[in-house]
Amino acid sequence: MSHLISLKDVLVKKDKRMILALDDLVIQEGSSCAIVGPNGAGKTTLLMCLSCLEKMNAGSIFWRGKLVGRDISKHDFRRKISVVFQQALLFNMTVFDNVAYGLKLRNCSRKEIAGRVMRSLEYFGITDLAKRSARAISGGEAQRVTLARALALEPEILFLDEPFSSLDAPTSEKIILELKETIRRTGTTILLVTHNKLEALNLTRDIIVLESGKKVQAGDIAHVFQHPATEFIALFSGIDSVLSGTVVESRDGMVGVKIADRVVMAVGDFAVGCYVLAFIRPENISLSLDAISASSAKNNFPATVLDCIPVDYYHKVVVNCGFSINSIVANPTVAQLQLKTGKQVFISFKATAVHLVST
Amino acid sequence: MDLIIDGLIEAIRLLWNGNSEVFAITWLSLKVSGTATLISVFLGVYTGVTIALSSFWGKRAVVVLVNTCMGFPPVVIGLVVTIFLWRSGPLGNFGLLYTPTAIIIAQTIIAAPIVTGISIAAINQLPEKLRLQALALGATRLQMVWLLIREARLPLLAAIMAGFGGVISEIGASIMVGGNIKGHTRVLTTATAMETSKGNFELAIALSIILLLLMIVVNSVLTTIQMKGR
Repeated sequence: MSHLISLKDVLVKKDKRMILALDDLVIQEGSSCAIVGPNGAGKTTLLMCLSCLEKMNAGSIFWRGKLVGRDISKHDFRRKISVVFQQALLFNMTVFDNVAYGLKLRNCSRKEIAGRVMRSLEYFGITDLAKRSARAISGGEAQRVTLARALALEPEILFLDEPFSSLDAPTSEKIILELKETIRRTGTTILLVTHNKLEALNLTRDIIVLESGKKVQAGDIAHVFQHPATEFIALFSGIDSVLSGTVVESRDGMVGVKIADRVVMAVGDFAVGCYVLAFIRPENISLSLDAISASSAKNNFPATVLDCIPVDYYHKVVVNCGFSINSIVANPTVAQLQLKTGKQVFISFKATAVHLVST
Repeated sequence: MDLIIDGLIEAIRLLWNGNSEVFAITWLSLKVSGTATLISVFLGVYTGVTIALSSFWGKRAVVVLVNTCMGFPPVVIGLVVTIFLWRSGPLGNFGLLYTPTAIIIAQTIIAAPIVTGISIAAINQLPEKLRLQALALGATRLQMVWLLIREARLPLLAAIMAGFGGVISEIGASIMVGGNIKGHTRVLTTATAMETSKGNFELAIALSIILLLLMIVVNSVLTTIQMKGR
């Protein structure tokens, strides 16, 4: 894979406040990458900078190694990309004309425009909307039209700025699947700004995590979710047990972390006295009515159920074992164990299930 | 009451018979106010869009100034234009005072801020990212501006209506810079005022009816276009 787009030493300030400060970032051709981070982390600003729609205080954008603004004009560069915003920004014309707009700007022939527009509408199953006014369609249809408009241009990279956030869950799930299939078919490189883990997992393979305008972690999405570097990434990836503690013992790649009045064993190499955050995925915590002596898990504690919250086909069970920790339990198991608030249980988890980061 | 009824009957008779003086006054009014509106639309839309899309120090002050100028008294504009066009004034050499051109100049100065102010508001009410979306689709700056004007066409038509309504019904500046010269610079509003002061209520009412009809026709046409654009 070759470098499609990259940036170097980018700095964006607004009202003297730093919004984005990135030393370097490379997007490979054919890749799919999610940009995540808390509100105000600079995600949209990064997308706007990469698409040359935002003025930067410093820094350079490179397109296939060419400096944008010097070796290639911003206008020529923008004709190689497509951007879909959070809001479906459709023009007051028919759906067909909306999708054809960018193609007309590129002086495509009428025949080519008609072909590409209809093909793109077909990708999202909205060919029947072609003659309708863009003002007379639903929110879900409007977002499909914006995606069709973006893909009709056959961009080399597609920038998506939270395009599904204003849609209801079933509609966004359906559109995500349609988009995923279209991207698979066209091989378009995508960069997705999102607040949604499932969108990121569904549409992208890589992830860039921004916090306070800086890149805090990047890489393969599965690896980043398994080894979160910050509390935000841990929570974003679905880890809802984030515990702070102090290392009290350390030997042979194993550490004991004192959390409340318990010592939790974990894999890691930290000095004694070091303050750490322990991330434990809820699916890695086993719950039973009796203590399991034969278990290979290093961490076994008696606990009291604090809450048992039904979530779809499972329950989120909050227990207190000296500290509060969450587990997920399948619905039949909840019934079998008769889990309810106040129930005495035992929890166990392996040392490898605890991911530590120093604070 | 008889005065009003007689006046209305005479007015209808004058209109029905196609009085040449009434026709000439109407035609001049249309020509002068139409030209002033047209120039104002070009100036106002260009300035309004430029202000709305630019970010510069003091932008807020400029918008406040434009909004203030929207309600500028026509007599003050008439006075200023008269001074400028006066024989010994800065533009006195052109000999424009008491000509239809002078009325066009004054009316343009009245209408341009109205069109500018409404244009700024029209562009500002569009989603902020629409501009970015157009650029992201590959539009040049000029193509993007044209698209925004197209998107804001409904409020921009309102700007034209407001501009035309402002100048066709204006009297202070027209009488000051035009002089209300019969067959030369007499327009509907100045003629109506003069005939009223002379006690010729029939002619004054006839001219008023024409003025109202003109406004109704022009606004109906623009409103129809506006409704179609929805």
